[in-house]
Formats: sequence, structure tokens, C-alpha cells
Amino acid sequence: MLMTAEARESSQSAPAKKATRDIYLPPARKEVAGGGTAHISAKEFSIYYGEFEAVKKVSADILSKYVTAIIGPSGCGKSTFLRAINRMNDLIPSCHTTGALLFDSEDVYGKFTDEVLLRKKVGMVFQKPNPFPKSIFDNIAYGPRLHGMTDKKKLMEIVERSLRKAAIWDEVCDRLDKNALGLSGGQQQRLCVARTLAVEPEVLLLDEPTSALDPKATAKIEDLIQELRGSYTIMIVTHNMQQASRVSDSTMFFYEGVLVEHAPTEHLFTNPKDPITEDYITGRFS
Amino acid sequence: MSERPVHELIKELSQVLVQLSDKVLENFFFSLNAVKYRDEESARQIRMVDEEIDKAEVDLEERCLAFLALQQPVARDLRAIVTIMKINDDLERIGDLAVHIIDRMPEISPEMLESFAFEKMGVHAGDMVKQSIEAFISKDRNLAEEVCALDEEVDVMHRAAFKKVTMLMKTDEANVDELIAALSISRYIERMADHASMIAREVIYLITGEIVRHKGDFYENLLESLDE
Repeated sequence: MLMTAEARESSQSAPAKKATRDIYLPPARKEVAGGGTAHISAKEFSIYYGEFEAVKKVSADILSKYVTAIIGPSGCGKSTFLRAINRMNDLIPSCHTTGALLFDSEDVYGKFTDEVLLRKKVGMVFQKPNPFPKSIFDNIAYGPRLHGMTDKKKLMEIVERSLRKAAIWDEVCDRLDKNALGLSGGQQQRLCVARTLAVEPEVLLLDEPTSALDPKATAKIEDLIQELRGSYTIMIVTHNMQQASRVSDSTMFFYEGVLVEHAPTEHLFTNPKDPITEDYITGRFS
Repeated sequence: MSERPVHELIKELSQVLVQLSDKVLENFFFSLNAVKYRDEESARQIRMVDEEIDKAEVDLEERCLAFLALQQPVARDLRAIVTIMKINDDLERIGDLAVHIIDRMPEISPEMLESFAFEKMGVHAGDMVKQSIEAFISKDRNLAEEVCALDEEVDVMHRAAFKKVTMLMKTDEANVDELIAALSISRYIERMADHASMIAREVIYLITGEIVRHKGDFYENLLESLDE
């Protein structure tokens, strides 16, 4: 539920059911428990920067607990679409939307939506690792503290669990009091994932999370995505098509703001239906 | 828009494949002639050419594997490389069939050969290979489907040879070794037509992305024909 407490009290309606539309499942990869339902749904959803329509009437279902990759050339609207899911675009004054974007069947841009609660449920990791200039412990504990957690023992449990989930615990467990900025780029990025996981989100948005990392650190992040798959709904924007094909179950291809094709990843990369998709992924774009 | 080097490379690999198919076909027809005229010198050359075909097949496969590893192709580029690798394998096996035919040379007389329609059958199967390669070059789905349909005609010829051999074997003056050699040659030509049919199916995959290898009544027909 994304509504503010006040709005929730005034609302007499029954709790919204999860969407269970008849949508495809990625065929070859292992099924995940609870997967197959639409966690996020866009319906004729457009995003404007002033007059400019950056994302044009996108309709799509993002499956719960699967990994969805978003690919497309620079300026195609993929990051704009991703950032819209936890309302990061609200910071841009000229940005407005039309159509509907639903998270758990509730309107992300609804009048009573609580953005803070939304961003707790929909975490985000950015292109460049951005740890706070604080200790590793404080970085992870920051979110839970913000949400009112004060019990030190519980905080320690959350920190350990989050760092373990982000596959970085073994590397930092003996230096939790050290400044996070002393970690390598790859470690910092996994720390940022751990920081996002600490507030127990349902969705992870990854905006080119490995573009600033070397191949080894990239591989660790990709392994981590596979580890988290099945527990979280993950969306990743990437320019690296091999990465999209390696880590995702379904792939969305954006071009000039339009969602050209959304298909199971193995279909999109072996036999895309749209010639524009084919030209883009085979490097035939002029 | 000019082609990128990666796409030029796919074209180059396709050309190498087409050149290999010319060599394989030529060697196959030489083998039928060599058996017909009991030409030992031609037989020796056919074996040498087959060794060259084997080397060319390995070389092309290595180049395709390097392409897959280094270029990581997707979509039609991926299908093109996979198709080249599969056709390459079919061509190498057709090359082996030419050698199998000349292996039967000492066992069969020109008179016995003359009594079977192997030349006609060979030309038919050879045409199928040519057309399947043409379908590959021109990405012509209709032509590829025509090749698949032609396979039945070669199967009919093979069944006729099978019936003839079984009939002759029942006679008192039957030379069983010679008849088995004749049946083997018929079988080799029929296998060549099968490979042409496989190549055509691979071309359909290249064009459509759909694997049609086990679709249709191709195998059912074949099984039924063997039961008859």
C-alpha cells in the first residue's frame, strides 16, 4: 500500500488484488516462487520534460521476482522510464506524466501516494557507486534508522543480513567501522545494493550499475543479480547487451521513447520480431 | 549504409561455405564416375580431396567458433553463424559419402551398376544440394521448402533399389556381396539427399528463426516407406 496513513484511513475500499493477467513467463529459465504476476504495470504511460515526450504511451507488465532488462540507444527514454517507477523524476520541475503506472495495482502517481514509502519498496542503485562518507555500518543502517529503528542488536542483524545478501559480508565483516569510501568501486557498488536491501524493498531498480566497474567487479554484480532473482523484482538499464542477455529473463527495447519490443530475453536476442530491434542488437543502426 | 566489418566477416564465412559446397559436390560426382569406369586414379584423387574437405571443415568451424567467442552475435547474425556451422557439418558428411562410394568399387561390376539408376539418383540428390545452397545464398525460403519436397523422389528411387536387391538376392545366381554394395551405394546417395534436405531446413531456420527439423511428415514418411 503506497497511500499516506491519512488517505488510507479515509479510504473504505477493499484492498486491491494483485494483477493476475494472462502474461508470458520466460520459458527456459528456472521458475521462481510467486513469479508470473505483474508487479509493475504501465498503461499508455507517457513521461514529458516540458513539451518533449521522452517516453511515449508505454504499456507493459513487469513480472514479479523476475529480472527485466531495458536496452536502447542513448536518449531513448529507458532511464527516464526506470526512474519514473520510484518517482525520481519528481525532482525535475518540468517533468510530468500521463497514463498510468501501477505498482502492486496501485497508481504510483496517485494523489495520495506516499513517495517515501514508495521509495522504501522500490530501491534504486545508480551508475556510479554513491556510498555516504560514513562507516560501512552506518551506510547500511542509515535507511532502517531513518524509518525509526534504534535497537542496536536489530540494526546489527539487518546490517549483516543485507551485506550477506549483497555478497560483500566476507570482504567487510572485520572493518564495519571503516569509511565506506575506502572500498573499491565494485565493493562500493555492492555496498549500495546492500544499503538498498536494508530497508527490505520489493523492487530493485539498477541504472547501468556496472558501467563504472571493471570486468571482475561487473561479474560479481551480475552474480549478485542472479542471487537476488526470485526474491526481488529487478529492473536493470544497461548499454551492455551481453549483460542484458546474461542476467535478465525478459528484455524491453526502447527507441525514441517508444517501447518497440518486450519479450523473453532468449527470444529477443535470437529471433526478435521487430526489424528495428534486430537492427539495433546486431549493430546495424545508421 | 556500408556494412560493418563484423557483417563483412559473416559474408566471408558464407562464401567459404559456398566454395566448400562446390568442392564437395564435384567430388561426389567424381566418385559416381570413378565407380562407373573403375578408375583407380580418380579414386585416389577423391580420397585426397576428401582430406582437403575435412581440413576445410575444421578450419571453417574454428573460424565460426572464434566469431561466436569474439563477436558474441545475436539475432540474424547468430542464426547465420549457427547455420553456417550446421551446413558445414552436413557438407563434410556428404564428402565422406563420396569416399564410401569408391570404397564399394572393388565389390561391384560396371554391369551391375548400369542396371541401377544411380546416375539419375545422384544427379537428383546433387541438384538438391545445389538448390539448398542457392537457397542459403539468396535466403529463399520457397526454394528451401522445394528442396525438402524433392527428398521424397530420391526416397522412392532408394526404395526401388531396395526392392530390386531383395528380389535379385532370392535368385540362385545372386552375388550377395555385389548386391549389398549396390544397396549401399543407393543408401549413400539417399543419405546425400537427406543432408540436402537438412541444409534446406537449416536455411529455413536462418530466415525465420523457427526450427523445422522435426516438423512435418518427413520422418513419418521415411519410417512408413521402410515398413512397406
